[in-house]
Amino acid sequence: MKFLIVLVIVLVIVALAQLMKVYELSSKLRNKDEADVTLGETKFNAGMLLVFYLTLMISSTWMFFHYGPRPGLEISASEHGNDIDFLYDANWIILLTVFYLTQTLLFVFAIKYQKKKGRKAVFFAHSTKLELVWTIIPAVTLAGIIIGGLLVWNKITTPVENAEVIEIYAQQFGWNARYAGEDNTLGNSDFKVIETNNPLGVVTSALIDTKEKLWKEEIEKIEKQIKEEGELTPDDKLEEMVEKVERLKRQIIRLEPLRRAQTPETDLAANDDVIVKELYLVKGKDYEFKFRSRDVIHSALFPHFRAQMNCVPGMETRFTFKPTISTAEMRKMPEVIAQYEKTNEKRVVQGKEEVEFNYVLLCNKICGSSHYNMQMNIVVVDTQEEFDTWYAEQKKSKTFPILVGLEEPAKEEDKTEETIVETVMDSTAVAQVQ
Amino acid sequence: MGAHTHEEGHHHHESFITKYLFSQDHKMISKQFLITAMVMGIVAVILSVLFRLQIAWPNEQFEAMKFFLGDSYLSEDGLLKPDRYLAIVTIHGTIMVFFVLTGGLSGTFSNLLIPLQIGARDMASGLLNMLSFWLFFLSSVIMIYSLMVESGPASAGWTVYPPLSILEKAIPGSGTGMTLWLLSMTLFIASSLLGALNYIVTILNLRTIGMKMTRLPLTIWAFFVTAILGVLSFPVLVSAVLLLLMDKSFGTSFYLSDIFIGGEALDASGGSPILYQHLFWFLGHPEVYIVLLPALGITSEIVSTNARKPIFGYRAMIGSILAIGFLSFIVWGHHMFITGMNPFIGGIFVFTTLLIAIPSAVKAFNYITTLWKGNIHYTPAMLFSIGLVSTFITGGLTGIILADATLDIPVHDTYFVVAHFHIVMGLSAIFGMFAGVYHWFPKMYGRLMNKKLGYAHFWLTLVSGYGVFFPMHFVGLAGAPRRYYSNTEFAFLDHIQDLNEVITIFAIIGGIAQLIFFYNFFHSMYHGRVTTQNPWRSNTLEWTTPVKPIHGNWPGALPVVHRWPYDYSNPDHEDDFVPQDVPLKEGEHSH
Repeated sequence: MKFLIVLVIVLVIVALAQLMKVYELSSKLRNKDEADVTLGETKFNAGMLLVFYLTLMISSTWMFFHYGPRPGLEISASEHGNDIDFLYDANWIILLTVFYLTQTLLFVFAIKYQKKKGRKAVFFAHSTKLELVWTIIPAVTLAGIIIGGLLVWNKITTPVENAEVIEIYAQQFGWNARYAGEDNTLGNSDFKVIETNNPLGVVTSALIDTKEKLWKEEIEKIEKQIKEEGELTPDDKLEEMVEKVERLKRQIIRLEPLRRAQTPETDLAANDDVIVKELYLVKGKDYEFKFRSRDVIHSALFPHFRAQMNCVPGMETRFTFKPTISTAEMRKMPEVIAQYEKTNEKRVVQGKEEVEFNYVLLCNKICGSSHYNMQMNIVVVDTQEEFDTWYAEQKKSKTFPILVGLEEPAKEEDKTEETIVETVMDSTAVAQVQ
Repeated sequence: MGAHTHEEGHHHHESFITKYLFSQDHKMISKQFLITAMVMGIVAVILSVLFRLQIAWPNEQFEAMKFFLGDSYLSEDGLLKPDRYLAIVTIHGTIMVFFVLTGGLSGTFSNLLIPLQIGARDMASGLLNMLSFWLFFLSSVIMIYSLMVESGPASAGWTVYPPLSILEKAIPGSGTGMTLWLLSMTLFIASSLLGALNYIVTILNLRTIGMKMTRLPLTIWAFFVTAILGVLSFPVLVSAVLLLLMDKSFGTSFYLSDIFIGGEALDASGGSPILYQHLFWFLGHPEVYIVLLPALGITSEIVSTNARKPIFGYRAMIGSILAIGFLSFIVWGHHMFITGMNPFIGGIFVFTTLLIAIPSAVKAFNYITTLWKGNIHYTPAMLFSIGLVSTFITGGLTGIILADATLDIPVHDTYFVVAHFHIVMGLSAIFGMFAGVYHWFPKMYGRLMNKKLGYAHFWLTLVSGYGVFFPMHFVGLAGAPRRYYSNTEFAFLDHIQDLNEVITIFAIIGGIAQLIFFYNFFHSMYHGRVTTQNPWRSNTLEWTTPVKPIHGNWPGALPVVHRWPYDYSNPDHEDDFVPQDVPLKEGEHSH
């Protein structure tokens, strides 16, 4: 294969070289000036310009009709999404008009004023009037675009009162979501207390005490070990142990600010939080999403809801939206049915499982090797009752006992981070299959 | 070897080393930049075809991957590894933006044309100029070498956002590969700064008699503003890069805070990853114009020459270059609309960004009016310039969508963005570069490039360029994020996979078409037809220099300038061009 590729390249080059030789000899015979564009060349290129222009116009028009301005995402599932879609349509009308107009002028002029013997170009160096026209017209159009855009922008970014708070927490390569519970207030959280069964690092006073105790015990253990076996252990191992002790000591010191931030209210706020791996939303309810990340920057993209926000380690970002169409309703939309019929036809041929429409949250900021598969399933239900049934189930779930039973923190210190990632990946895989 | 030694036009013997390697002659340095950039360009094009293969047919093995990348990039089942996919995407972007379109474009044409078009013997400092090239060369070598390190090259995207670019635990490429990336970029920036300072000083101080600022060809105006942008913005990137290096290697936390990775909480606290983005885009956005303005300058010159008409609105063109240059410094926030930026600040960036559309529109309309009632010679350079105007419009229009914070929300970081900037910055700038090479090849090698091959190259490149990036808009509008190893994990993206295949096919055609250019370039270098004195019948001063380039540019005294460079088809003159060194006729007014 390698040989074949090289052979083809070599052959192409040889063929080109031969062609060039023939061409050069013949043009030398005719004593042609290489710089001068001949009549034949002018005709050829003018024809090509025309063909290209027509192809560009026809194919771009066809694509706009065939794919539309939001292929596969025709229906906005959120309230503000309709405003965005409307703004898109308005902008596309302006932009496409300008596109067709200017490309037409460009290509028509380029073709029409091709070189002709005896023609002298018109000496037309400037015209203040014309220049003013094409400064003012774009300026006015842009003013319209800016005003339209900012009106919707302000509407989207204005906080909504009494929205239900949900935290979205990103990590390589999965999502966790935390419902704020009955009080609609999220408990404090901190990356330093993250562990397998507390993936969001939710903080309570009890947890801080337990952590401190555990870490102190571990320090004691290692220090004892150093004392007893220190002389027998190899240097690098010993160094590692000393380092670990120092790290733990630092961590204990860094717990102090957390402890100070903790009040009985925040403890209560944390205790009714519920962590889930799949997002359930109720149609017609306002949601305020708060985004955080534990490792690198991620971006939470909700394509069907026209929402996106970065998740940045060390800070909290927000986005508010109101879902307006439930998953069940969406599955009955003719556009969606048509799209998924086609999709499934192909999937069957490819030997893949058939799929149903689902809302999805995906990562849209490069975050590492599995960036392309970092997702969370979203279900929009029609009624509060449906949601409550699911929510009650989640509360009972023992997946994250730390929140339900803070009294009994697990002692899985040796469980590595990789296994967490695995479980996250597993559950998203499950969500996808569903 | 200052310029003064050549005042008398003496030609002295040069050894191979001083002539071809450590040359201080701006024309040789320009050729060195061009050829280095071409080699870098091949690498970047090959990488792009490889990752396009992966996107279009994610589950298939390709011999080409093994052939070009080697086994270390492939997993056991012969597929490209996901983190190496990101690595080649990163290096493709870095090479194209910095090494081809910044170093290559400015390095080649600023060096070649500034002394020739302003009537100077050489750059203000030949030594700095030489250093600038060799730093560029060194940084190119390091960037290519980083592709071969065991843990892979930098993989966090060409913008190398921390924390991903800092934490080796987050992606292997952030180890040695990233260190080499930072090293290479630091050298690159040093090269770029030395070059830019030299360009500015040369343009301000070494113009020949009569060459007023308002008689400068638009190429020089574009190079001038580009150099100023570079001098003001690249130092900010240096600081961003140095802080990144310190975070990575010396345990500081400028960009890091609250990170839990690999099972442990890092000590870093108080930093902000967003700070990096501000610093990066403070360079990054002017960088777009550093790439674009020289291409627009080259186009102005070529469109005017080949339409045999004065460029329409010369002063408006200068004004729009200056306006674009100024505005480019206050728009960087539009890259960060969804980073949690204060919505009010976001609104301000919407406003400033959309303002740029006005000078851009003026430029586009002025090009079109220049063609009106012209007498257009379809040289390959002219065709590429027409192509540039077309892509500049197409790509510029989608920029209006992305500049609008509201409209940006659903398409931010999707293929819509990729399509937009590849058309407006990638295609336009590379078209400008090709146009420049075809047009000024005679000034580099004293020969002409083959026209027929030029046509083949142009048409294939234009068609495949549009073929790749026009459909890509729809991939983005369908919600497909960029930098995805494959779209197979999301069923809602299944229906645009056909488009992805079409795009890849065009990418392959476009890649292969570049072989024609390379063949033409190197063949014409030795076997092209020897050029006449002024093959395009152009007005600018470079065509008054001898056909065979000499050190010092003009054998006798420097030419004296009497008029602006766009006296094409002037009704007062018989010929359809009047070079700048032709004295005014009696009663004729200088423009």
